[in-house]
Parts: sequence; structure tokens; C-alpha cells
Amino acid sequence: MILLIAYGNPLRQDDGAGLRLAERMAGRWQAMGAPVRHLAVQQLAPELALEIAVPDVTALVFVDTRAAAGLAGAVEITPLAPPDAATPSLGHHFQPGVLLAYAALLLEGRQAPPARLVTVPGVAFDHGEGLSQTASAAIEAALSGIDEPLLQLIDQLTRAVSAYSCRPVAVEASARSQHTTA
Amino acid sequence: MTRTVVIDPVTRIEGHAKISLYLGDDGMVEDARFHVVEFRGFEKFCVGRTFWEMPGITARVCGICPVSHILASAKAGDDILGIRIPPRAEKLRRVMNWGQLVQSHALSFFHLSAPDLLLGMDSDPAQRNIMGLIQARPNIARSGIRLRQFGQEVIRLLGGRSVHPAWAVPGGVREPLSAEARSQIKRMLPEAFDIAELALDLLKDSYDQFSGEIEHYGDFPSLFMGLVTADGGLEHYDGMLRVVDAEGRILENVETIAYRHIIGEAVEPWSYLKAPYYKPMGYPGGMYRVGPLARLNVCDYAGTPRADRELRQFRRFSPRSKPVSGSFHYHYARLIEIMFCLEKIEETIGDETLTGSHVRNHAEVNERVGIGVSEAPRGTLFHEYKVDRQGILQFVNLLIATGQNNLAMNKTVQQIARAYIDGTTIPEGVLNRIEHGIRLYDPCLSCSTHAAGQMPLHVQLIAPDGRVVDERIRD
Repeated sequence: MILLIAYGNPLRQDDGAGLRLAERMAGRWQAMGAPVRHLAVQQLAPELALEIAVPDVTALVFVDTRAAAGLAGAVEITPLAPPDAATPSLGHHFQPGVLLAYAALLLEGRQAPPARLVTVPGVAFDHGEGLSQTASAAIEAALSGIDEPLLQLIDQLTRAVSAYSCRPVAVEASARSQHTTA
Repeated sequence: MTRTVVIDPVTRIEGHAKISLYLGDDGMVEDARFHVVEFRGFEKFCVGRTFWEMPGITARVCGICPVSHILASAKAGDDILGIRIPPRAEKLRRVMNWGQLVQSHALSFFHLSAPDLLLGMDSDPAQRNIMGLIQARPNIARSGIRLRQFGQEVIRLLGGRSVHPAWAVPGGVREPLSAEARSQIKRMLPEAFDIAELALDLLKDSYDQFSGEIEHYGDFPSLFMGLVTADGGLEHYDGMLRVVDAEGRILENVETIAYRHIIGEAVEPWSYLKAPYYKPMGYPGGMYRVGPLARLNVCDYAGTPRADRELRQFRRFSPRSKPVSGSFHYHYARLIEIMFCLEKIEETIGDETLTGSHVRNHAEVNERVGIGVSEAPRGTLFHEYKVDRQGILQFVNLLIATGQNNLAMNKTVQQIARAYIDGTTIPEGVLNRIEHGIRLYDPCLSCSTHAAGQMPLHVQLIAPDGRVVDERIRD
């Protein structure tokens, strides 16, 4: 099963861009018959490690917004691994790599699923709903195939989970979603 | 002439969590200013919406303590309807609030503060972080996840989901508690109690190492504020608003509706965060603290056996019945509250009638003003709404705990900086100490969003002529 964890605040404009993209990615996987579990949360918290550290999860994708350097940018995909160290945080947010480390702890020696971080470029983070042109354009480009890597990732994980499991495909998607639309 | 030390964490939101230390000519820190993200945006953002929507909207203020905003908002809505909610609904709201306090306090202790407390303030910075804790004390890290999961599960079982459960509404709650959910909470409780006991032992066993921190981490006289029951017991959902002074004298014990008579809200040009103060003493003399330490200082007793036993030990930190003044003891207070909440959940869940179906009363707009007050993990939370006849919001005021601790956090940073910065160099470890000093209050710096990437600190020591004489950057 693909575990898709999106995080952000949709009342902070582009901060919710990752949530928006993840909905679309989950929809793609559903349409392709790939087993996917989609969680949408405001920020990462330790207990999400419990969702990761289950045998059914064979691939893990975090979806977030990143602060873009300029007014244009593309959806980016980076592989994730537990960090060697973590800078203490003044806030309550956790980094996805730390969650992987927690998951590895809970798996007690078994390997954590391979993980990727998908980020949408964002430029507007003030109070309000809706996305900036930068974030919207990046999402559309990624899903329309103008930017190939995201579609490649979707196909790759679909093949991987299909090969892993011969069971009838069960699409869970947003049934247990904690999506946060106001 | 003053010189300035700037500690500037880089995050997604500009101006988010910046610390400025002002040094006098004697090289000592004269003042400290801690800047965090604003909340007034939400207050303006909500005007024009209906009060019915507010529990759902204001829950988005915070990803860690949304239940607090949901409850305060629903209570303000109860006021606008002018009705009493069913007693069962009140009990269920209380259970959710206790669940939230458990999960939030577990996050603070196990995941944010434990690396400092259990690995040592002066241990290798490369190891003194959550990854180091996972490697050095995996069972502790695992216990932290489990205790936090308990609180989240209580919230999920009541509200249908653990983040932003749009469950408490004006008039009561949307759904009753199922018998299965009640049984599940009961089954989870023994492990939660064990972890709470473990945490208390860990903290108390480590206290001897921290005599310096206890002295310098926010130990100063101040007022304390929090809710208490009608007879002075520890309270998190309703009750009377009590203010005590540094000698333990009760200055106020008033209905929450009177909060505006005793709390003023100052605004400083250097911060978006409000600086509330106790009105009769003016600004900034009316500095007060809220949160676990304050709640244990304002109450006469806790009201549950294990928490009361711990409370008696806690009060030994201050002689002659005075409030415990050191902010380092927020850690201990937090753990006592976890124990209290678990005991209250156990007691309340034991009520056979809790799963009944009548959990909401209905009415139209009967009052034009609603004030909802509850205790969030970080302190007293106020929601005040003014509506028109159709229930459209004309005015919203949110007074959050982090803001109310604003003056105390500044004072704490100043105290730590005076102890560990001599004015010419920035010693190794001072960033961590200042961070820990702030973390004692467990402020919600990320209430309205989440940060991207790390939060590296950048400290510059600037001479009167503008030269940077020392600098430290945390990557």
C-alpha cells in the first residue's frame, strides 16, 4: 500500500498547496487501482510514525509546500532517509525524516518503507484561502506531464505496489483522510 | 548606548520566532524580546462568517491544540444561543479536553524537552536532539509516541478524527460516545498510566542535575492565572478565573465573563504577539503566567489521588505556601497534569450513562455576545464573539496562552542570557539554553502554519559601533 501523507494549512494560502496536490495524486492512484491511504494533516506529529510502521505500507510519500526562491518553480521530488541528527525546534512541527526514524524504531529492526518528499513551490503564506499562480501552475504542470518526474513517480509506485501484492486491490484513499477543508 | 544580540530563526513565515537581546553598556542583558507569528489575522479573517462555523475555522489556528479552540469556540457559541448544553455533552467535551492535554503535554515532554532533560543540557549538541534520544533511549522515545497516541485516540474516538474534529458545536456535541469507543478508551488507560508514572520518575530522578537551570530559567516573582472549580480545585474546562500574586494571595476569583475587567492587551511595535497584562497593576507590571505551572499555583488542590500526591511534592519547591516561581517546574507541572487528566478520564469514562444519545440542545441566536473560556495545554484560552441578529460575526477576539506568557517568556530569556552571555562572547550551548527556556512555556509558534525545513538559530553579538564581535549559527 502507498501511504500518502500531506501536510499544511489551507487557511494559509500556499501552505495548503501540498494538500491540494496530494488530493489529485490520491485520485490518480485510485483511478489506476493502486492501493493508497491518504492522510491530510496540518503538521507532522510523532504518532504518524504508527501509520508508517505497519507491514502493509510498502511506499511512503510526503507532500508539502516549500518556500520558493522566485515566482516560478516546479514540483520537486527528493528521496528521504532518517537524518543522523535533528536540529531542535522551537515549534511543534516534525520533519519527515524524524518520522521515518520513529517508524524504524517501532519496526524494531525491520526496514522502514522507501520514502519520498514531494514539494510544491509556494510564495504566498498569509491568512486566506486559495493558491498563488506559482503554486497552481506547478501543480498543473506536474499532473499534466509537462513536468515528467511526478507522473513517473506515480507510475513507478503503482507498479511497485502491484508487484508486491497479488491481493485484490483495495482503495482506501480518503476514507480515513483527515483532510482539513474549512 | 545599548547593543543588540539578534537570534533569528529562519522559517517559512517571515518574522517567525525572532529573539533580540539588548545589552547595556555594562555588557549585561538589559532586555529581551521574543517575537512570534501573529494571530490577529485570524480574528479579522473570521469577521463576516457565522458563529456556527467558528469551531471549525478556529481549529485551524493550531495543528497541535485544535481541540482547545474548538471547545472555547463552542462555548462562546453556547453563550450566543443562551442555553445550557446537556450534562452528558459537557462531560464528553471535558474528556476530549483531557485527551488533548495528555497528547500535547506528551509532545512537550517526550519529544521536545526530553533530549535536554535526559541527555543533559551540556551533552554533545550532535546527540542532544530527538535523533540522539531515539538512539540512546529508544524505550523512552517509544513511550512518548504511545502516550501521545493515547491522547489522539481519545480525541479520534470522540470526534471521529484526531486533527480538527468538528465535533463540539454550539449547543453540545455532534455525536455521542459509542459503547465500543468507551471500552477502547478503558483498555488503553493502563498503559497510559504506566507511561505517565515513568515520565514522573524520569524527571524527578534528573532534578539534581538541574540546580543551575532551576535558578536561571525563569525564576522570578509574577502573577499566575488559571481556571479553578467553584471550590478551588484544578479545572480545565469551566469554573472561575483566578489570579494569585507571588505571595499566593488570591487577587481575583471571578466569572470568566469578567475577563476584560481584569486583563488588558498591550501591543508592542516590535512584535505581532499581544502582551496581555493584569489591568489593576498596569503594563508591564501586571505580567502573569498561564499554563500548567500557573494552574497548579492557583488551585487549592487537584482533586484526584495520584495528582494530589504529586501536587504535594511539587509544592515543596516553594516555601510558606507561596506559588512555585521557577518556570523550569513547568515540566513537572505538565506531568502532574497528565496524571490528573488520565485519572479524570478514567473516572468519567466509568459513568455508565455517558453513552446516551442526548448530547445537543438547539436554539437560535438569543444573545449578541458570547465568551468561551477553557484551559488549553499552554494556558487559559479566551474566545469572544459579537454577532448580529443572524449570527454573523461582527467582532472576534482571541486571547491565546502563548500571548499571555509573552512577558514571562521575555523575562525568562533575559534571565538566561544574563546568566550565560557575558557581553563579549556567545558561549557554546547558549542557543540551546535559550531555546529550552522558551520551550518551558511550550509556546505555539507554529499555530497558524508549519515551518519548512529546520529552524536554525543565528546569534550575532554587535558592538556599539556596529561591528559583529561574535556570532553563532546553528545549522
